[in-house]
Amino acid sequence: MKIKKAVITAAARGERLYPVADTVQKAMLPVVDRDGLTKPAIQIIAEEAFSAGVEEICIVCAPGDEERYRQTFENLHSNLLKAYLNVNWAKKEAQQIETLLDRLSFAVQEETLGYGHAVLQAKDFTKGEPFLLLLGDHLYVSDVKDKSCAKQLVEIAEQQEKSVTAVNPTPEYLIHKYGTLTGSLLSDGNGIYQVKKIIEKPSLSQAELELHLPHIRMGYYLCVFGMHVLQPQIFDILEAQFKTAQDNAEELQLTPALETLAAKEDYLAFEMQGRRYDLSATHGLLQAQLALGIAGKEREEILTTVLRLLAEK
Amino acid sequence: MNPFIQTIKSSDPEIRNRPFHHLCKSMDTQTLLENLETLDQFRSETDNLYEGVRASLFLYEAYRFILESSKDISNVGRLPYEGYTNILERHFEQAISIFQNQAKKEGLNATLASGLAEGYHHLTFQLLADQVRKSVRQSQGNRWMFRIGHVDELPIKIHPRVLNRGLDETLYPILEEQTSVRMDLSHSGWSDIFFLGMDYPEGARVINVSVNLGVYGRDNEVKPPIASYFRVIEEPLIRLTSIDLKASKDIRDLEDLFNFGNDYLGLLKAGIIASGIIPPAFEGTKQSLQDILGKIVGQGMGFELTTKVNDIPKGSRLAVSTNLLGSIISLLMRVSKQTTFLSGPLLEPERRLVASRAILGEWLGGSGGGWQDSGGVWPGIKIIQGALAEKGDPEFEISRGCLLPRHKVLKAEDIHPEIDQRLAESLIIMHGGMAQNVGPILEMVTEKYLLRAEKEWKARGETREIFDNILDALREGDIKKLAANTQKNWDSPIKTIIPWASTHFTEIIIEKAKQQLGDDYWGFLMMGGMSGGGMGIFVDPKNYAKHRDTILNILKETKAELSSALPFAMEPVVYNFEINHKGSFAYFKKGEEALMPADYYQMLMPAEVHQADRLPDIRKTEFNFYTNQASKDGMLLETMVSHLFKVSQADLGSAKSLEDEISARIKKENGFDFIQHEQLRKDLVKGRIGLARNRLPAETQIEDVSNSDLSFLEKIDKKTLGEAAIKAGKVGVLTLAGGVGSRWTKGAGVIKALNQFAEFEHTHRSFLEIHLNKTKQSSELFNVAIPHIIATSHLTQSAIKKELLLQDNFNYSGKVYLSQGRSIGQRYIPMERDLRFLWEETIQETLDENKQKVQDAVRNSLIAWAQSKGEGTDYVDNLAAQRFSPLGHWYEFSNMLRNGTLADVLEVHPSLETLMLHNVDTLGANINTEALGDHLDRNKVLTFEVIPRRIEDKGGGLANINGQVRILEGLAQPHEEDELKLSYYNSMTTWIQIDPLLKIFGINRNDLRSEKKIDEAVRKMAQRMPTYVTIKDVKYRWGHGQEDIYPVAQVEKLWSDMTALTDVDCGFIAVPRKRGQQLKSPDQLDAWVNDGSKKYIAELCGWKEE
Repeated sequence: MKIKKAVITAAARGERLYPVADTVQKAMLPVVDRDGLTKPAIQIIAEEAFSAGVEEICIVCAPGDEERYRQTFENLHSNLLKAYLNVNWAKKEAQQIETLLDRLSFAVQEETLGYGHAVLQAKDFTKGEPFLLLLGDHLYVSDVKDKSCAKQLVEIAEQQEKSVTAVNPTPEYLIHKYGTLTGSLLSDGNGIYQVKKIIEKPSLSQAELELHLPHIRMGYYLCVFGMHVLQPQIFDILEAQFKTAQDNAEELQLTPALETLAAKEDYLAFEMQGRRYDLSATHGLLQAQLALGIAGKEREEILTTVLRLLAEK
Repeated sequence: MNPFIQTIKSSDPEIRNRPFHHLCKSMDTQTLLENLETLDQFRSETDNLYEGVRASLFLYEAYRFILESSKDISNVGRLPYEGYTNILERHFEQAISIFQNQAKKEGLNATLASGLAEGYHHLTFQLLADQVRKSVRQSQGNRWMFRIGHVDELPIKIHPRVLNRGLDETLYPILEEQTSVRMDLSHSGWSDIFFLGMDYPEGARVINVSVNLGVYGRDNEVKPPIASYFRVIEEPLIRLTSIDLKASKDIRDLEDLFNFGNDYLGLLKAGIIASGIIPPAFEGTKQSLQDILGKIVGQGMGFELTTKVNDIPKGSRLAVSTNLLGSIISLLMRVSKQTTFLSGPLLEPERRLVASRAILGEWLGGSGGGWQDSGGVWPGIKIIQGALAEKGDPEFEISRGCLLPRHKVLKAEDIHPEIDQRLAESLIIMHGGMAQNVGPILEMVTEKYLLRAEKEWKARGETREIFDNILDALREGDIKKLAANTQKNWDSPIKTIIPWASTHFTEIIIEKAKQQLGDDYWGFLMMGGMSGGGMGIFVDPKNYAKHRDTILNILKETKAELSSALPFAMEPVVYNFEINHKGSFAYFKKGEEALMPADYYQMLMPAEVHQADRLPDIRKTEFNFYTNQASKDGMLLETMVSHLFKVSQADLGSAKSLEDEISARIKKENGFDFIQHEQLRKDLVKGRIGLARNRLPAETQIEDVSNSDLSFLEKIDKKTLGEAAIKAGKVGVLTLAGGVGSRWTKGAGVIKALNQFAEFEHTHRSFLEIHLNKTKQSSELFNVAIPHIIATSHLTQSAIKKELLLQDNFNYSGKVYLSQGRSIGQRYIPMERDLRFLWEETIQETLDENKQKVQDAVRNSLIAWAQSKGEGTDYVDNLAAQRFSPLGHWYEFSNMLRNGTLADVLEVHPSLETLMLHNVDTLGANINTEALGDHLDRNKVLTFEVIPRRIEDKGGGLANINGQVRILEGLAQPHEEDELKLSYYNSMTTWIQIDPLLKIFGINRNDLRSEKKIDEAVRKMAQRMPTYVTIKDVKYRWGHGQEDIYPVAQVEKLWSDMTALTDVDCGFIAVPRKRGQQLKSPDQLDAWVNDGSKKYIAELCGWKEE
């Protein structure tokens, strides 16, 4: 089984990034990547997917955003070529944008009816194939040399041929922000779990009672990393749950669908060797930028800058 | 192999359950000591809780009950001071090793054995307490609360539904949690004690029923008695209100929240902390409460928590406080999104979490309960039983069972469909009004279980069969069978395991109920720790209503009869009840419905209305809604007005002035000396007298006495001399019974002499009955009338007189005289310096970690109380009787002179020459012919009986002070360690030669009718005696069974200081402990039985003892 497709959800308005996100989609916020090039965040995310062998990408976006995304990338491409004629880095960057544009498609989420609903919009794009699911406002830094986070996950998913969610141990005071899960370690896998239960944003008491894993450090839980490989059956579950959610005037989330998967014992979690950065969080952009900088080729320079800043203060 | 270790480690029940004393039977002292040494080694090396605990208790039992009285070791010895202080500071391991080393050096003696026993006993219960604490902290769902210590890490947010108001709503919503209390039908021999559940989960099970209550004759409806309320407020603080305790307070900082002793709201505070809203790890972190509330509620916001237990009194044995804690925790977990549903019932895992946090809350607040106590959080009738510890449980491989039991709610097929109705129509639940401390009983149960004491272990076996019968009866709906089994449970296993579970009051109630109800009496239900408070009686439902009145009357009448002898905290009540099938249940109230209970407004409105201009608008609106609602509910305007203007204060005032009148009368009748009182006050305030001034100068030389300084009762051979004196009518008895046993009932003001504390020949007998019986025995033996004088005080005179009349002097045919106290002191509000001296300068027993914190907080509050009331002013905020104290037992002899009793006695018994004076709690004191013979033979004015010291003997002893052999009072010791140098302790029993003593007073027999001569003689003599200031605990009762204890200052002159007068020729006799020991506190009772003391007393009284 080969994972060729990726879905990036980027339909949410960046309320937490007010005021900048009022005029710019948060996925388009500029970040200096590890290679030293300044890119829109979504491009970095897309390149993360390409690094894992993905060939096509679908961005789930809000109505009207499709055109804006495409237009922005095209402008960027032509401006680069025009402004920096024969400059190497610009050529390279333009090449990357071109690749992105070639492989990009969009799915529009007409109404914001929850994360699960956003994923559901990509059903037609996936055409019954498994896909890598990424968040439009999260950036990832791998701890494994020359292997991106997406690559780590996709390798496991291809090998296990099941839906797999990337997780990482998270201190307990943060778990109220994430889907949190528990399961049993597969005997043959490194950091691979058969998921038994997943709860969206649990209280600490609930987590301690139901989600504690004996070999994970005390006070830590496995929280969703914001990266999944999902088998197409997820769409059947989401569709079924969408009806109930509509009846109850509730949003459709992804976690209940994952819970159903867990109940069918068809669902794995993989302990990711890496870190993720939520651009929407307070100082999230700053943290992400620093992390990318320190993980990138200009590490020394960035560290020097940080140290100087500290020394001056 | 060491038989003790073999028993402890064996998994074979036959071996494991062998009674400890059987193991020791055939061992000589040397073998026993060798086995104890290896057992101690084993104890210190094992990690297993059960093994450590059982080994420690075996060691205690061996040292206390076998070695301490062994003929193979010396009866007299001394304790190293360092070991003693280690015990007080709770360093038990160190204390034990110091005592062991001393024993190795000089050989084991009985005093060291008592020290070792004390160390092992404490160690046993400390191990248990530590494990409970560890298990509670490690309980799944609680651990995070001990890790998260900073607000930035606190993932708690208030539920949006209680935080948000509708557009048209002014008030924030209220969440109300209603919780029932629990009733235990099975009792099962206190098997809900944590350790039993943890060591013997198979045997730990109860049938626990959630009940709603209403007080018969007071409440119109039967409802869950516990309610707690949460509301967000627009002030950055936590407002706590306990309606029943009439206490409300704004908490503005963490330090106050974690202080469980500075107000009446400790339980509410413990609930907040145990719920995780502000977790225990925040203690002492100096974070701003305002910031914390800002994070969890919103900037500038806070919340209020209000509780109400519908005036159900303390001691109901229905676990009111644990279920209140459960209610608060459940409520706060709901509003902080720790439960699935905001309102409605709880889910099963949530109930378990509430139960484990209630245990945590109890531990934090320094109180304690059994594991079944939070049963009111669950619905209906359930079996709660111990659970074997499995892998993953914090107890796994530490103890056999888990801390928390399993709850199984009985389903329709397990119980008869009409059981609710049948129970409600035949069971009368009551509160007898007695207030007791069940702590010692729970310790005794644990001890007996660990030792597998034969009788008790067999009784525990019987409870299993009774439990099954009760379950059958519930299924069959057969109340008569149920009642027969609860009665059987009471008659046999419960009273066999702990005889002290019964009281004289309970026995009389049952007896009267049986008599008055005849065949309609179906059985007694023992409901909890001990009887006298919450109890039940099953009656024929045909006449339920009638019998309910009868029972209530029996309770009231019996309480009136016994109120001076037993500690009652309140008037008895009978309850109406029904089974609660909802469990703890929450209701969401918004808009105009979002109101606190009416009592809340009646309590808080008056003060707030008076500062109406400063009241926030939201509060005004709330009051407005309340008054609208109140008028709709038909609440009378006058009730409102009376609360608003505190009309009832006037009533309170009148109650106080009545007590003031009684006080004035007491002063008049007891010859209160105003001038002396003012002089003493001046001395007290100026620091001329005080606790520190009680002490002899620091340079005083204090040494132990040598064998030549005293006689030894077992070596005396003066029987004939003693017998002759008795036969010649030369001897009488003087029993000191003026006190109210402040240690016996913790300042409850009960007359100790009349307290029927133990059963002899199936009847509870009082101290006084025992003393008169001994005199009766002597009188019959020597065929002579022996005058028995009882010294009383203003507190005890009339009750003792009444009782003697009622009981016909307990069938003693000789003459009994009452000598009423003639000296009375008005108690003072203590000086801060004396309180600090007592609590900070003298060595005090340290308590378990959290209890100590609570005690420290309480002490600070009491110092503040003394300052606010005025140090050295008269103590007047209590019943008149509690405001006064006798001036010390030195006055007892002179009282007999002043009130004419001695003159009366000598008129009837002109040959009387010797009196045996003894304390009411020295049960073994009788007219011993050898002691008397020795006293006469040596021609002493006074002969004091002393006993070999044991670790529990605190304060003074027989000493050689600057070369003079005399009794050193504890209060006068220059250094704390002095008493540990002294081998003998004062028993207070004194042989008095009347005529020589009168001579020392400067009078003779012929002067006894001359008031003037006597007054002068007494005053002159009194001036020679030192005055001590002491601090006594006094109970103040209020509300429904609530009690506060206040330290008050009083002055005393002590009898044993007579030994310091050089012109009084005093002798001393060492007597066995059984004769000279004093029974000071009820927790001594079990050991008093086990070491044979009770049997000894029975023999003295001529009673058969099983």
